[in-house]
Amino acid sequence: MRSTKHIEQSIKNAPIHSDPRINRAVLNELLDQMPQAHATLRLRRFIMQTRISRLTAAAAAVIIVAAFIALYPFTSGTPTFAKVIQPILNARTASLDILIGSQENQAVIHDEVMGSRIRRTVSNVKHSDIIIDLEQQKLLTLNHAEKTAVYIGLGGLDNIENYVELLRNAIIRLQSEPDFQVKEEGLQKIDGQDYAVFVAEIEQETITIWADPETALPVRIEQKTPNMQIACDNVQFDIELDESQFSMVAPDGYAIQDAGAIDFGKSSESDFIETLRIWAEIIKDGQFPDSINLEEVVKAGPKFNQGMKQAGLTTEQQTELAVRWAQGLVFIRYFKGQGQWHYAGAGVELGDAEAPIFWYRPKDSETWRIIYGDLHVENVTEEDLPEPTLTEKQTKIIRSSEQWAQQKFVGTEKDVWHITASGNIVAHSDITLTKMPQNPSVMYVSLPYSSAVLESVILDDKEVPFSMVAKVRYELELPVENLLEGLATIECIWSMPLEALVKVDYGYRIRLQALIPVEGFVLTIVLEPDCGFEYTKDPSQTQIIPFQGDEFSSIVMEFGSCGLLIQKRN
Amino acid sequence: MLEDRLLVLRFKHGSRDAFCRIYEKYRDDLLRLAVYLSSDTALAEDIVHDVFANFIRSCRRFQLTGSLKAYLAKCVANRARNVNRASRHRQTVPLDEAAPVASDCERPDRWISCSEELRLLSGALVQLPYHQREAITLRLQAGMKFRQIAHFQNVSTKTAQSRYRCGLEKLRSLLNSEMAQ
Repeated sequence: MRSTKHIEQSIKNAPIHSDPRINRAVLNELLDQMPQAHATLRLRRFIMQTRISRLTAAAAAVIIVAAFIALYPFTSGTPTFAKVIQPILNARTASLDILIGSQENQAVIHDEVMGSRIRRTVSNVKHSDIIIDLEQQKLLTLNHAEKTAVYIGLGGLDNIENYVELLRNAIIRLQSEPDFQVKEEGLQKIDGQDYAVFVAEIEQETITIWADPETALPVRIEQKTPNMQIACDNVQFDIELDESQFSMVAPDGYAIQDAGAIDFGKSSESDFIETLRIWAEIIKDGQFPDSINLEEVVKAGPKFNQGMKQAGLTTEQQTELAVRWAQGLVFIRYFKGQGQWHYAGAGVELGDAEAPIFWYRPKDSETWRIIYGDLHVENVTEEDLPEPTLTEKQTKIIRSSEQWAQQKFVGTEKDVWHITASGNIVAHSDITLTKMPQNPSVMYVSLPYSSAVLESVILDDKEVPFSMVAKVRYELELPVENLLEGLATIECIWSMPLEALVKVDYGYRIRLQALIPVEGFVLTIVLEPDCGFEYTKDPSQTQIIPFQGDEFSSIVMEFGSCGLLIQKRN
Repeated sequence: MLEDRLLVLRFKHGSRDAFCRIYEKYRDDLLRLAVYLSSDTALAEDIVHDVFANFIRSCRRFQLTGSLKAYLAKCVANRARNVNRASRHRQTVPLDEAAPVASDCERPDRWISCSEELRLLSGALVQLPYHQREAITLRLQAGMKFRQIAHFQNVSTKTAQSRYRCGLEKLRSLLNSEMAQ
């Protein structure tokens, strides 16, 4: 006898077999009815008659992405100081790793420098090398797997004798700034070895150099702005390098392509619009990127290549398209407008005529230019500019439930720390998730102080189970369904003694660290009425915003420290 | 659900891979649903094929507001209704009174073959009033909530629940009496 339950199960699961051959035939017939991907159609319109005579590397786009970074690291200044500057200036060869942003598993750019030439490899670009000749303003990309060599011109650059020269110019420029200050921070251990640490600060930019105390040679240079973090690691000077590795002549048997030039002197709005269109259509499946910062450019490389293949472009078209994409990026990298530009395209679909995605003020213009999601442009006065808030941006991202390839959660965090009568800090950390892994199940949080203890975690008014996996590191068992429905604000309550903070003469020093990698962080301090402390300065300044997610923001967990200006009440 | 949303987004932008994934993911469920609703494998194949073809045609204006599976299932149910309505007109015999049809006649180019269990269930389902059959299959095959079924059938939620329960009870009785024979 069958029960109702059994019948229900049977209806759900009764086996059905479909013939794989006919499945395929039906699918093919359906695909034939599918309109040609409009991405591809539009792209084909982009492609101009090519000057390229031979088919070239399929990975050309990726290589161009990598090559485009060539001129980034030192363009905004990488200083050193009297002790550490000399070896750099005298160096004939150098080797360094460039890391952009603060994410784990980020692409590492390895550069070897010999005079005016750089040999570059990028960790997420396999089987490829890039040789950049700054003197000739040309780069050569070699794909060893496909045996192809692509030459790309770098037009419009100022005269650069060599890479070190570029660095020296940047140093001189920075040191001539009136606000430039250098602090010696003493010795710091890295991998058991002592290094002298120098910190240079100018406006919102901090540059830290770790140098060998004996030789004064810098080994690591880190540049942080509210928008970007670039680190040059494993820096070595005057090492033995094989000159043949810097040859601009393609190896025998390699197919050669001349892919035109990226003109760094040209930065038009229309080029930039083209870049946005390509980015949305090829890299982001119809959506604009979350940000257009350098970190995003590096990440986009492999996806760009894959997207172009899927769009059915020939290899020569891929190369040309990649150059066009890079050309538009020049607009923001060498921005010549007035003031700041703003990007708000995260979560916006290509074609959305209502959503402003980018706005800027051209030089000497009274009005601003706004680019919308359908890529039309309007002139507006300053009063009519859109004002995207952090919340709006997050909501957009969460509504689209963005999942990404990395196995980690990213969010924004709002902390409220209550200083209580018992001499403790009770912290409420509200984490709003903006990115989550493809298979979200457990999330790890790390508390900022070794004496901190996680008390409870709440999601959607329900307790979330958690367990300690290491000192100050906890594993949260998140209800996946809730996350996918967009209920993505998690409240973590944790506590620690106030004395865990470093006592200084003006009060306490707070280490600013989020519980997970974040794109924005706000900290508010609340002195409970009976806590026995009072502010030594204006109590209205109890909110600390080290950074707030914007178009440039990178994903970080730590962001320095700040002072807590309180004293015992008399 | 999240995967579906991303697939639809890519599909709307012309991704053939995304359509392939949607087709592979839901093809068999939709075929099973169509077999239950039409009790005819050839008809079921046509229904599912047409649903996918329409889905492609409407891709530019398609907006996913809920579950993709439920959306496609509703398309199948709508089409099955139309087919059944047309068939009723031709036969001039009310569908609910029609005798069970052979559900898996041999064809050289058949796309699907039903298991014995599926054939048995389909044969029993066809003996239920159509709206009960629809309520049961939409609930069990498409995973739709009673509220959604009620909306689809343009009745109250209680009526949809009642159709489901009555239909299931009748089905149990039919299947058990068949087993007893």
